[in-house]
Amino acid sequence: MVYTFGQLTIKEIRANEFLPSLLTIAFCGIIPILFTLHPTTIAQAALPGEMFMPLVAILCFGGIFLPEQVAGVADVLNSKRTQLLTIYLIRLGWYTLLLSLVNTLLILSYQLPTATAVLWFDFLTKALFIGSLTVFSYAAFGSLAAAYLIPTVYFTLCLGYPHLGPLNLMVLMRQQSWTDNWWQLGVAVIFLVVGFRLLRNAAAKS
Amino acid sequence: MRLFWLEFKRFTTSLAFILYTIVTAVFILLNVWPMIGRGLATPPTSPTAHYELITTTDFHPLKTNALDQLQEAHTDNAYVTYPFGFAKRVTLNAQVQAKVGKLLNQARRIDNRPTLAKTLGHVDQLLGGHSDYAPATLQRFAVRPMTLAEARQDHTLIMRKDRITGAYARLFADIAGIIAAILPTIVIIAYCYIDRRAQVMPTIQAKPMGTLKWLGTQYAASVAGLIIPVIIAALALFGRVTWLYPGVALDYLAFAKAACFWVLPTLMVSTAVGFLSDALFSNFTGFALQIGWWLIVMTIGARQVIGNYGWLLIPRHNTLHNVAYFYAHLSELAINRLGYTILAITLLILTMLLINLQREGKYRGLHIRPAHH
Repeated sequence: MVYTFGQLTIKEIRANEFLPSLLTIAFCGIIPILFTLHPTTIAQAALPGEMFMPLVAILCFGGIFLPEQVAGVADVLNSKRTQLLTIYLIRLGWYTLLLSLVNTLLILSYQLPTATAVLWFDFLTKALFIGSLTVFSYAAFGSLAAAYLIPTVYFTLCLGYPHLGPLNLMVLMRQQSWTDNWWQLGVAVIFLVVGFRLLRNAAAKS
Repeated sequence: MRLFWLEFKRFTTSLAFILYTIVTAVFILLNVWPMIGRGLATPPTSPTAHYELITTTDFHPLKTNALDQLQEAHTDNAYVTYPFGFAKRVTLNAQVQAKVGKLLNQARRIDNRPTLAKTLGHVDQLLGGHSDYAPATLQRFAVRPMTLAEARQDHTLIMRKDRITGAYARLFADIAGIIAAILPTIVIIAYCYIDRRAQVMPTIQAKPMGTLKWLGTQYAASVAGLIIPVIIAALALFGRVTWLYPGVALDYLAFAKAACFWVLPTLMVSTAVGFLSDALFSNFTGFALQIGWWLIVMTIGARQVIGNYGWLLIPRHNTLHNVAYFYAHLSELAINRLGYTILAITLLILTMLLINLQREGKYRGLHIRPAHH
């Protein structure tokens, strides 16, 4: 039986991403407990998106490579009509959508109409940057540990290391210009393109 | 012992370990290396210089800082509390606002610390707890720049008690603790996942070997491996300090003591969490719990990085100074470290019980993602 792309997406999410997505939503449910939903400044409003959501993104995007970790399964899947790369893209898209939804709800609850667009762009960029770094790390090293280790270390560096310039994830929290996010978005796109090329090459070689 | 070396060799030759070693050593060196200079041996002389912050025991700055902050918050009716370490804004109704105002006026007339702590403790209760005015956290208001006399005293302690290396070793331990509290969990989960991926768990679990010996050896070999990049960074930093301070009487064991007594308990806990979460979930789900704990500890610690031990998994001392505070609170730090060592062993015992249940076929893990047995 041949599935359409839409059917495949729904089946994939239902089979592999449903429970982790529920866990993600539950994890994000602690945001109102940890952070204020009535911020008075943009720096305060940016805290959950820049401090908490990148860590949620590591958990989500790191997990997109988990289901096919059984030895040999990747090869079997790559011999099928729908390549594993497509499955990864579906998962990446799904988690970007899920995190954007959480970010949107969070920003709407702030009721800061003048900062909505800036916060939304900022939060989306964090998720994409971490997600792309996760994909790139996995593709470059072929290791799940790398997919979790490298983004975590990068996030930790952002907390205290002063020389990351516009690539420091804590943009609005540290009162840097929101336009730094364009740099991060650009790097995220490069990581994604290179990461998926590496994954495609690896699939072709196996 | 042979099993230990087999496990150690298997662990330290894994890709996860090699990556961990590189990123951990680089992280520590990136953050500590630029802080090492020649200036620590020079005694302070300028009465107008701006010296580093210290946590003082004086009553006056504590009272002034606390009441200034409370006055500002009261005027704006915008108080800040820190449930789980994260800042939350609290707005009070008119009745409670009036009560806080009354307590603020009372506090202005107080001239001793216990009474001030009691009065501000009532403010904390009215705010719902977790504020800076709680008696346990009131000390945070007592941070101010050193005077020249205090800077000289601080310098004397660095030269005589720390013997230079001690000051750098504290900074090293502060930074190494941050990374040692999170990365080992990932490495251990990834390491355990290899066995699951290869579907050898049933074979391993059926071996005629006690869980205590099996898990204990695996844990000891992992901890021995995971401390390696911390030691590598410590050696590099020690080398730099000895290079910059020739002819000065240094404490040659300072970095080793910091690695073993300060960083190791943190690393032992995050390693034990890795084994426990693998036994519980059979995949990376447990990493979410550790990352949550880590973030909370980091934000609590960040409120006073120049000397903050208490019950933090990552005790903070992100300064070369505030030495008197360190020695005055050394027993607190020692109890903290001992406590976390005991916690690591407790988590390991819990893991052992879970593995025993698995070996008896009574527990197969909470599967949030597909797991492989």
